[in-house]
Amino acid sequence: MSLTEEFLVSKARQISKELGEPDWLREVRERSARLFFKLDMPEHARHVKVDFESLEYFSPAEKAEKLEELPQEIRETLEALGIPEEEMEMLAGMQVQVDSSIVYQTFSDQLRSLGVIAMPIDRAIREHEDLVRSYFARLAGPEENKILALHYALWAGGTFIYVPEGVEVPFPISALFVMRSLPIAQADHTIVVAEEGAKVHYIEGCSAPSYIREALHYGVTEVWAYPGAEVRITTMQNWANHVINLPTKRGVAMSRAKIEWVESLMGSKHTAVRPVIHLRGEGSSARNVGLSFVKGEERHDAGVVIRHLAPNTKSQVISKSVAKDRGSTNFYGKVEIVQGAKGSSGFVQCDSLLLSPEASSETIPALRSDEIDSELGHEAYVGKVAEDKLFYLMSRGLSEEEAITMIVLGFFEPVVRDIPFEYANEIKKLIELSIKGM
Amino acid sequence: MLRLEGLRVRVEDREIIKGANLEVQGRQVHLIIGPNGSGKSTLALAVAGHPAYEVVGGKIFFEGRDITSLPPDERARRGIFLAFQNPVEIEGLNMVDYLAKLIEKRTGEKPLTPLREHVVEFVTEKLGPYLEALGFNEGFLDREINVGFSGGEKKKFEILQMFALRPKLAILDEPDSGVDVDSLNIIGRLLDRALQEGITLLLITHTGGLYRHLKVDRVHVMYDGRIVASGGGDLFERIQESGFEVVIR
Ligand SMILES: Nc1ncnc2c1ncn2[C@@H]1O[C@H](COP(=O)(O)OP(=O)(O)O)[C@@H](O)[C@H]1O
Ligand SMILES: [Mg+2]
Repeated sequence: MSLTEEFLVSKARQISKELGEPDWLREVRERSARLFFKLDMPEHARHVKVDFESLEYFSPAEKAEKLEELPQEIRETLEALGIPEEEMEMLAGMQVQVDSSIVYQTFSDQLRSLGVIAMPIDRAIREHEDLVRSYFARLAGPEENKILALHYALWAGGTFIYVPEGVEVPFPISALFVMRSLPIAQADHTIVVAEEGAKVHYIEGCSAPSYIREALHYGVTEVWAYPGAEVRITTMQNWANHVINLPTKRGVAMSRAKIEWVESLMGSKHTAVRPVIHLRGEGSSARNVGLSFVKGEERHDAGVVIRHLAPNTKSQVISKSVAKDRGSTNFYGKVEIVQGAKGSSGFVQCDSLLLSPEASSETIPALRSDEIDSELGHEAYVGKVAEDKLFYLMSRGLSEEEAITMIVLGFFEPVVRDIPFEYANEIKKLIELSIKGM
Repeated sequence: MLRLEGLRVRVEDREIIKGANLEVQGRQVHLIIGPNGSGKSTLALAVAGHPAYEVVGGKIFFEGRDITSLPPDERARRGIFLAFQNPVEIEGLNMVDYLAKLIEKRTGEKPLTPLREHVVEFVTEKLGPYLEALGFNEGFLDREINVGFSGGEKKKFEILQMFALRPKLAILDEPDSGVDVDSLNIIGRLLDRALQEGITLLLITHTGGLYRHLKVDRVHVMYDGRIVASGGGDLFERIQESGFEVVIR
């Protein structure tokens, strides 16, 4: 099968029809399908090789009413991601997306009574069309690059969260995305809107079991934080080593609003991601905290772009990465303070730890301020596991593996601290597993 | 229990230990004293198996078995413990999680869950009296290994780890240096307790401070990479009075 414009447009139409979408959405899909052939890869992903021809772009899965009805392998994947069933039941608002469909969802009555909308985005389009439409594709559009064009042509699934003015959601809302069929391209679209003074924590977990051969993940997340709102997004990704991961993440913070993005990224053949946060309102702030672990031949090109567009805005970026075997982990931190954004400050800290001589890591800071009354800082550190630390722990009877695991977990601790306990614990287990057999 | 036969150790292309012989019997207290730079720490690190301290001659026997080429974790599992002169900082590694892991290694027991409260409960249950004696409260247990510790806190934490591991032989490299009088007394009492509990002590020390707390069986003097003299407690007192010249010629 070759990927022609005709094929892609008809595929876009077919998805739109199956999902029963309104015309405006179908039109976005068709237009985007045509754009795909005209646009280049995103600048930060120019070097990523994607075999677009071999992927399956829409793969609906059976829906389940109860968790027990999910296929065994999916439940296992969820557990591998760190979500044991008891805990899944406890997470009050959650949904599970397999390939292109949401297969399981429960959102508590409590959320409804608070007026919070938290549901699969296709349902939100049916029930709150105008609301979704006013936010959809506003922070990232199909005309930007090839990957976004493909996304807007073929996207399916994702979450829509809307928190009304002054409402603080008392527990995290979570969603899980699992890739199962083979080979698959998963393009979830998530929108989080926090109205004035609202507070919300959204946790998303993404996973692909290791039997997947070739897969592409190219989801989009759009985040809106209105004045005084606080939005926290925790993304946990554990990809098999044949997944190419090219997500797009955008956020905008109005005055005094806070956006906090905590990201744990493990695995994938190649990840290239460059979240962009705009601090649009006076006194707004962003915090972007990430950990990345690569092994084998895996490669992560992570980074972040933060633009300070108003006075007294603050940003903090912390990246911690560990590379094992021939893994490569790179971080591009771009912070810009525009003229007039007086009293603003940005700080980028990137630390990496190399566990083998063939592993590599690079940090590229790009700090720029056009405002004299502002402050920018950058710190980077690349190190090896020091022999003295290793010996100290081994002299206490810990094996080399255990000692390295402890040093690595200690290294990640400043990030893991920000992740809810159950998830943090699973991240620890995954790291332990990854270090085994060194 | 421990026997060194003509041990020679090289560090960064320099031979530091130049043929040391030493024998430590079980359930005894032995002292190693000697001027700065004579090789005491090098000897201790070589016995514990530090990879940068290369044994280029001689042998190390522990409980009659040759351990010269064993990795450090295997030596620890056989019952050798080293309290470092300069304990190493490990950022982000929480004391209480670490202690729980050491206890798990020895006993096979684990906290109920990895939740902080359960880990604290577990460690307190296992090490309660020692924590109390050392003045380590729960807040202190939350700190990162040796990060920002005072000199005394570092030395006391080494002692705590010894009790977590319950080795057969504890080599203590200057547990008394950089420690205030109160802490010195605490350490002295705990070392005596360790001995009561069946731990053999090989103590590297400069001061009489600990000597007073312990019934010392034998004293060894190290000079320029060799054990140049061995004797009873009187040897330590003679050197305290007149300096190392008494035994060096
Ligand atoms: N890691 C090392 N690298 C280089 N030289 C070392 C190292 N460790 C010890 N030495 C050298 O070995 C000699 C003995 O040191 P050490 O064993 O620390 O003596 P002591 O503990 O008796 O004061 C000194 O000259 C010291 O500089
Ligand atoms: Mg020394």
